[in-house]
Amino acid sequence: MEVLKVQGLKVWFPVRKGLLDVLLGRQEFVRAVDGVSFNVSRGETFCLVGESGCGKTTTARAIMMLIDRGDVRGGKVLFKPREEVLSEIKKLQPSAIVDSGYVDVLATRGQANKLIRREIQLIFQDPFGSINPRMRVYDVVEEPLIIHGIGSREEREEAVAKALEAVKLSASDFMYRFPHQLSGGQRQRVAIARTLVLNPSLLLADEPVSMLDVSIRAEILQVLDELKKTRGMSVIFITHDIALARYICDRIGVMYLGKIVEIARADEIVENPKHPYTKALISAVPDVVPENRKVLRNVPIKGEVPSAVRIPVGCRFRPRCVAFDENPGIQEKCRKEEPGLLRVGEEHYSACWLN
Amino acid sequence: MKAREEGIIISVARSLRGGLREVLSSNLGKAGVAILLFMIVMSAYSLYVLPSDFPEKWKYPTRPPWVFNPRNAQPQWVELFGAKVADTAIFSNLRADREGIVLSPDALLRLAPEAERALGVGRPVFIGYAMVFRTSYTLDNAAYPQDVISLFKVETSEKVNKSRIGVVVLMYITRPDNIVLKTAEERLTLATLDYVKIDQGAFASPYISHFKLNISEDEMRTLYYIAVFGKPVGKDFEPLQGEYQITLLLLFTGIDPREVQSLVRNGDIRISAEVRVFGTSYGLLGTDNYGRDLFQGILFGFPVALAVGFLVSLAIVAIGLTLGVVSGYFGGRVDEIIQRTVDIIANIPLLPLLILVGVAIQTRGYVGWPALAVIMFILVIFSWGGVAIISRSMALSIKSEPYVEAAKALGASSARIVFRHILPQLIPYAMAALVFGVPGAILAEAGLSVLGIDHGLPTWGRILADAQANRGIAYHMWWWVLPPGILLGLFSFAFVALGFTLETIVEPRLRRR
Ligand SMILES: Nc1ncnc2c1ncn2[C@@H]1O[C@H](COP(=O)(O)OP(=O)(O)O)[C@@H](O)[C@H]1O
Ligand SMILES: [Mg+2]
Repeated sequence: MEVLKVQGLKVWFPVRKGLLDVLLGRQEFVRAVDGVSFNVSRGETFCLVGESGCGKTTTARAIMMLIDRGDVRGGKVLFKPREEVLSEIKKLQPSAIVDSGYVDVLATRGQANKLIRREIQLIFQDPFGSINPRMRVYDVVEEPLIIHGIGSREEREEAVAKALEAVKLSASDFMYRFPHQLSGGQRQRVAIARTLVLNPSLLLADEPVSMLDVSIRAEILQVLDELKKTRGMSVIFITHDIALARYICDRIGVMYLGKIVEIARADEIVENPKHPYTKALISAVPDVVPENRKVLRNVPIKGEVPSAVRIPVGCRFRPRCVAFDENPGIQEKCRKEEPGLLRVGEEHYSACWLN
Repeated sequence: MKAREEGIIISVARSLRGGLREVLSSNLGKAGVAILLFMIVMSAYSLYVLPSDFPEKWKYPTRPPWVFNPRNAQPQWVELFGAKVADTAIFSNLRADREGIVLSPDALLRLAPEAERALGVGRPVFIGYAMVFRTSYTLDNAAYPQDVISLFKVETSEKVNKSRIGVVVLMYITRPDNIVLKTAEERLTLATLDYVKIDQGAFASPYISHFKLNISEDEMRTLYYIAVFGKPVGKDFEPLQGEYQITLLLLFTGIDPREVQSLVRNGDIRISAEVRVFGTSYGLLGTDNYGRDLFQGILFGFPVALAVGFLVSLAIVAIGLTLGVVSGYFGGRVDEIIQRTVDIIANIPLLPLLILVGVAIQTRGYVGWPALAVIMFILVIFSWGGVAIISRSMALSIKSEPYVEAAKALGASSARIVFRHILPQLIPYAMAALVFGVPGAILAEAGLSVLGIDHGLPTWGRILADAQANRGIAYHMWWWVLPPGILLGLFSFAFVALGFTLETIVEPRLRRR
C-alpha cells in the first residue's frame, strides 16, 4: 500500500525579469519540476536518481512543503499518515483529506500542516549548513520535540539520548558539543537524529552522503539502513549515483530535466535499462575492475543539459539522444510529441517512443 | 536533568569568565576596561558627593555658591610646576575674638586699632556693642588675589527680632607694610547680614594719598585688587608678599548695647564669620568665568555621559535590530514600509533639525532632564536606520541558510525562527553596535551643546560649550577646555577599544583562533 503518491507535480520558479521582458509582458519560468509522478509504498526505499540540476531537491522540498505555494504550478502530493494523525486532521481540516486516508499535503494549513510535518522528515544534503552553528547538539535534536510540544523535560532528554544512540553517537559525549566541534559525518548523524526523535513514517534523504568523505559514507548509509529496518520507515533517497541507488533502493526513478523518464525495480533498471538516458547513466558508472577504468569508454550521450528555462519541445531528451540519431523513423514523433511513461515490463515504465 | 542545568550555568559562567580573560589578554581590551572602570567609579563617587540639586545650582552661575568662589582660577596644583599663583584661602567658622560695649572712640580703638578710619573726622562719638573677627592670610607668590569676601552666619533665638537690630560691618585689611585699608563698610540688619566684599571705592582715596600717587580715584577703583595686594613700583604695581591681617568689625546700632551684650552672652545671638581670599587658583580643576567649580561640573558629567551613551545606544540597537529583522524576515509590504522609513529618515538633515528642536525646547522653557531627554529621543529616532539596514541584510542571509529551512521543515513558527535562529546570530553584531554607539551618542550631545543647544545640565559638552561661548579658549583657560575634551576622547577610546575586542569574543568561530 502506498504511503505517498506524487501526481503530476510541477514547480516553476519565475525568472527575474529584465526591462525588455517587462515591456513585452513576458514571463519565463525555471521549470525545475515539470510533471513528476511516483508512488512510495510503506516500508519501501525509493530512489530518485539524476544528474545535478534535474530537480531532485526541488521535488523533495515540494513534498516537505518548503516551496512557496505560488511556485507549485500543478499536481498533488498525497500522503497517508498514521491513523491517529489522520483522525486529528479530520477534525482540524477535513477539506484536506482526499480519497480514503490520503491527505493533500500541499493544501494543509495551520495545525493540520504542523501535524503532517511531524510525519515527514528531511535530511539535508549539507550537514554543515543544516545545523545552526550556535546550538549545541542537545538543543538541535531536542528542537523538534519542543516545536511539537512533545514530552516533559525528562522525557525529551531521554528521547534525545535515544536518538543519538540510534545514530551511534555516545549521548554523554556529544550532547553538549557545538557543531564546530564535530566532523562532517558526526554532523550528518546529528541531523539524522533530529529527524528521528519525531518518529516519522516517511523520511526523505537528499544526497545525505554526497558532501562527506568517501571513508565515512558507508557508516552513514549503514545507520540509515538499520533505522529503516528497525523502525519500518518509508524512505525517499535522492542521489546522483545510480550504482549507490541500486545498492540501497527497492525501486528507482530516473529524473531528467524536471521529469521522471524511467521507473522500475532497482535490479531491473540497472540490468535492463530501457530509456537512452538511463543507459547513458549506467555506462558512465566507473567499472568495478580497476583495469577496465583505463579504457576510454563510450558513454552514449551527447551535448550538455539544456537550461530548465528552455526545455525542448517534444521529447526533452531528444537533443542529447543517441538513439534519436540512429532511428530516423521516429524522429518526427520525437520532435513533436512528449512521450509519457509507458509500461515496458513488470513494474517497469519508460518515457521513450522507441519502447 | 540536574546535571544538564548545572551544565548550562557552568558553561555560561565559563564563557563570561573566558570573555573577560580574552578582553584582558589584549592591551587594547585592558585599556578599555580600565577606562570604563574609572568612569564607573567616578560616576558612583559623583552620585555620592554631589547634592541632588546640583544641576539647578549650576544653572544659575551668578548665585551662591558660585559667587563665593574666585573666577577664572587655575587648578591649585599648577603651583607644583612653578606657576605663580595666589592661593585661594577659606577661613571658616571664625568666632569673635574680642567683643564688648564701647562708650568712646578710644574704647573702640582699644578693641580694634584698625577702626581708626571708621571714626573719621566729625563723626559723633560712638556708643554701642562691638564684635571683632580676625584672621591672617599669607601671600607667598608674586600674584594678586582677586578679592576678599566675608560671609556671616547668624543664628538667633525667637526672642530676637532680627530686622530691628542694625549692624554696621567694617572690613579692614592690614598689609605686610602696615598700611591699614578699610575695604568695606555696610549698614545692614541682623536679618540681612550675609556677606560683604571689597568695596572698590572704600579705600581709594586714602591709598592714593598714602603713596602720593598721580592717579584718579576712578582709575584706582578699577585696580582695586592691585591696590589692596600690590605696591607701586614706578608707574607700575607689583604684588606685595607677606602676611595680611583681615579684621571684621561689627557694630550693633538701634538697640541698647547692654541688651545686645546679654543676648550674646545668653547665646540668643550667635554669629560666626567666614573669610575667603579669592586667589588665582582653586581646587582640583579651577573655576570658570563665573567662579563655578569645574571639578564638580566635570564630576557630574561622568554619570550623565555613561547614562546618555548607554541609553541612546541601547535604544538605537533595540529599535534597529527589531525592525531590521522583521523587515528582512517577513519581507513584503512590511519590509517596504520599514525600508522607505529608513530612507526618509536618512535623508532628513539631522543637524538643522536638532538645532530647530533645540531652539523650540529653549523657547518653551524646557531645561534640564526633559530637554536632554528630548535631544536623546531625537538622536535615537534618527539613528536606528543604520543598524536596521545591517540587521535586515543579515536576517535576509540567515533566512536562506539551510538550518532555517530545516527548522521550517520541522514545523517551527516564525517567532521561533526569529528568536532561536536569527536573533542569536545577530547578537555579536548587536553587542559591537551597542558598544560602538555609546561614544557616538555622547559626542553628538557634546557637538549639539557647542552649537548652542542648551539643556542647562553640566555635561562635558556643555562645559566645553561654555568655554567657547565665554572666550575661555581665547583667554587660554586650558583648565576649562582640556579636562572635558580629554575625558570625551578617553570615553570614546574606551568604547572603541572594547568594541574591537568584543567582536572577537561574542563570535565563537573567531574565538578559536
Ligand atoms: N528557489 C529557486 N529559484 C529559482 N530556481 C531554482 C530554485 N531552486 C532550484 N532552482 C533551479 O531549479 C533547477 C533544479 O534544481 P534542484 O532541484 O536543486 O536540482 P538537483 O537537486 O537535482 O540538483 C535548477 O536549474 C535550479 O537552478
Ligand atoms: Mg540537489
